[in-house]
Amino acid sequence: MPKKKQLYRARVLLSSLSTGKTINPGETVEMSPDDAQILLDNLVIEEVSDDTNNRVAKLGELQDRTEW
Amino acid sequence: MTQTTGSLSWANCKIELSGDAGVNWIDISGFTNSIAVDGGERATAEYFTATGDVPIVTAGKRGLLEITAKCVYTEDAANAPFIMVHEANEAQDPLMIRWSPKGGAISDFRFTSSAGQCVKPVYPQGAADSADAIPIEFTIKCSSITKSVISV
Repeated sequence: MPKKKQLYRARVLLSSLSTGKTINPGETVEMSPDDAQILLDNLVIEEVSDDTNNRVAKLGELQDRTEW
Repeated sequence: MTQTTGSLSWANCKIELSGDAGVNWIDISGFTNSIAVDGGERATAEYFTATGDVPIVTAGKRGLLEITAKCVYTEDAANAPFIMVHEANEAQDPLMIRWSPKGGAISDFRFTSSAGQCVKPVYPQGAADSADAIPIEFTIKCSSITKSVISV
């Protein structure tokens, strides 16, 4: 089962490979922890508070149940 | 300090061209030999006063940028840079160009031009005693180049 997406905050201007959109520094972006790891390692994004990510995870679970 | 191991050559650079304001990007890496950037200098001025021994330096605006790409001329692909640039130049349509020196994967840097104008007509040129692939060269004048990091 794929890991739940989490919320990360951009530290620099990001350019999304999948959507083509840009994410400005300070804006948040959702991605899986696996995808985020290399960007975290390069200090390009940072994790946001656990509270926020818990809410994101719960919303993801609710969405999954709705989709079933 | 130890010597860096992160230096790059141009060998894996990914270069893309857009004729629709960055909505769709065409990979022209397989056509393009080089990218050169010129201009963009910030205007500066100096002012001397009677008291000071050195000038007061003030800064103004940045100048426009010229991005020159050297490509190979082909006629067999609708997305060949010659066709895109020639048509944009004829129609006075703006072009955008972007490149990623490391190859365009996640976490690589990407440099994206603002919409600019191709300033010179692009035509194939050559000589009968040359075995070289026919080159073309186009220059886009634009106001800015934005650095970003490629994410998911």
